[in-house]
Amino acid sequence: MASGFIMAVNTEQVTAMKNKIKVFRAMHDMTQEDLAGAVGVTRQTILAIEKGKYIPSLDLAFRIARHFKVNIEEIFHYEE
Amino acid sequence: MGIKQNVFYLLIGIIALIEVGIFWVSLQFDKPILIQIAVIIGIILVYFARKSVEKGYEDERTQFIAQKAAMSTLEVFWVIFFVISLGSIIIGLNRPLHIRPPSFPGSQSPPPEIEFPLPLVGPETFNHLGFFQLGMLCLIIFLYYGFRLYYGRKYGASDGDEE
Repeated sequence: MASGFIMAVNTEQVTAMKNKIKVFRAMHDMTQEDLAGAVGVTRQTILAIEKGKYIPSLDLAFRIARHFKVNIEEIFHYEE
Repeated sequence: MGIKQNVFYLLIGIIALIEVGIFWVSLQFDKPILIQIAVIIGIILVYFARKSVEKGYEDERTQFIAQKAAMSTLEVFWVIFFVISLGSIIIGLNRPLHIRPPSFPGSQSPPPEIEFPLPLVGPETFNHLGFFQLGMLCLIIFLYYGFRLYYGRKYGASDGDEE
């Protein structure tokens, strides 16, 4: 189910927000499709997040972190 | 149990074809109420069908893109609509108001055979208004899908990027 909370996104934010989803996917031997199904979004959304084109909502970020059983900061970090 | 996305598109196609048929019947019998009721019923059917589609293609990113596209469509559309309306007002104000000038004894009244053009808005022009509104509706749809494509590219990725 899609989250009602949608984070505001602009180009500056996208370049400042980094994530390690690809690394965690590789560690858990998961495809984008697998992860998308596990957290309830489309594969394109996972791909867009990995490429830094889209910043997920807090709700989705927590779901991804919980799926990998780590803290949210270990996957998502903000670069000043 | 939901219906599949392709079945949904097929359903929309069938409904559209039926609507075209009813439009023709409506035109033949000069009964606009037929097509008006048919369109409302068609939209209700599409609404319920859409609710039962399996939601495997929609998530927060697609909602975000739709939101951005709708906002941009509104921002562009109101400017276009305002400019067209302003132009229409200028044309309308430059037309005769169909008021016969007073004739005084000894003065020359205008010859009765002078033909005034139709007023810009009135019962005589309702068919033109329908085409105009339809054109505006097409413009909204065109703008919305254009913006959806644009934001889809901006906040998304193509299908061939699987790793």
